[in-house]
Amino acid sequence: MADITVSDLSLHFPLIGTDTQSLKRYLKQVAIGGSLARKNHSNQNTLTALRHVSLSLQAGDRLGLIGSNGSGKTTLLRCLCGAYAPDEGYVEVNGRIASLLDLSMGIDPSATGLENIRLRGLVAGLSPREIRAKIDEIADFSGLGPFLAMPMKTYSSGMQARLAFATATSVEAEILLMDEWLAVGDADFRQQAQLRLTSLVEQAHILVIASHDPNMIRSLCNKVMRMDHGRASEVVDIDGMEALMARPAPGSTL
Amino acid sequence: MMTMTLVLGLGINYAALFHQKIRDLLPFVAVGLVVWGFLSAAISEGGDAFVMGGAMIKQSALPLPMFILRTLARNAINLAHQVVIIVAVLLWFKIFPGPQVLWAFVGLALMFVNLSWIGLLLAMLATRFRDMPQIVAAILQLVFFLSPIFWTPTAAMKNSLFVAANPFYFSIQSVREPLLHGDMPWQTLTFLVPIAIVGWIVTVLVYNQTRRRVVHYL
Repeated sequence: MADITVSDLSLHFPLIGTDTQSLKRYLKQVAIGGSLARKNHSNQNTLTALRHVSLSLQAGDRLGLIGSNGSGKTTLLRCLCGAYAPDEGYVEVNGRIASLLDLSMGIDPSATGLENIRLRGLVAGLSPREIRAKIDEIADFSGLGPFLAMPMKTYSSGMQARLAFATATSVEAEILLMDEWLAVGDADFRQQAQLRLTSLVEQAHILVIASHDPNMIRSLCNKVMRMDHGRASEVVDIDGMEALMARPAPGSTL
Repeated sequence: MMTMTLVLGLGINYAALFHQKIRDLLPFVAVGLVVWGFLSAAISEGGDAFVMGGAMIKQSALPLPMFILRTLARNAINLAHQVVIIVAVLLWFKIFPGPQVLWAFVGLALMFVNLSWIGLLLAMLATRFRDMPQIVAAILQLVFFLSPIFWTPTAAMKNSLFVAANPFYFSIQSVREPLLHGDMPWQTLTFLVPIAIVGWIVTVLVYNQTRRRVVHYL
């Protein structure tokens, strides 16, 4: 059974401007003592992206993350999928994760469509045998037919999105992480894509989705959490969403 | 193709310039250039690996060393194609060193061990300092001309720093000597093995410190 436990999670980003990204400049500063070089005062500042976030989810939970831009929704998702290691606290995730954060992740433009399906499948954690079992279905769903033998860079952006979508959504996962609902392709494809995505969401044990669309959250989720300046509210039932949204931001007094 | 042209051009030209026999110099240059091509490409691409794979690193929990192994695998495949040049040159000059030639694989294995820590270390540095790839490229260019890759060191140079203490030269020799003369010069092993051990220790220490930061620097 899948479950997620996040306890007192904090994450700090070092802020690095192009000024501090040069080794030559860095060595110069060390050698001259920094007095001659123009100093950037934001040097080595850190930004706290998440502050003491705690939550726990069980199988069957469908959590919607709401909050303004820059409130830490995507950062939290990336922590859950393991890309960011926590600075404080811990994240424990049991179950196979599929993150639909960026569909084009792991796509090699000069490889053919079929090669990209394999590549993307490997990145998603499938074994070569699982990929072989799925590849026909993916190819079929993408509807690209003969184009699959051609390099990805010859595709139109819509075709690229279709293939990426077909591949990314082929992984049956216990935990599904999404940043906004996905919508790709032309009218025809869009309808099939919605069906596929909905069934993917239904078979997942846990869904965590960040979105700015309250209606979508209401239709998908049974729980909701609000992020504000890296702080998380408690997880409330979906019926409490209006009250949660109406609340003044917890970090606003600081 | 490029390498073949370079091998022929440099081999024949330098043989004439330095009054050496083509049959001595050309095989030396051929192996030297092919191995150097692998070595330098693996180092510079290894250093770029994290920046190139940034999109993936930011969204998945894939282990970082995998990105280095990817560049090594790609360059190994490249090297396998270039081996044709070495085989052709050895056949042409009828150089058959016998079963001792297998020592070249020991040299190659050692090269992989060293390249993997160099790649990992450089890749971490390159995410923090974005001018690293240019600096590395400049250094590699310099090393290429200063090391006995396409020129043979004379007896008088045996004590020069670029011959006596040049890890790049030793690395190339550990593959070149078995291929051309069928023996493994022991001083290359006594030089390269400690480098591999110390290099890995340093890299692991840096990796433990930096691993979680790499994703933020990207």
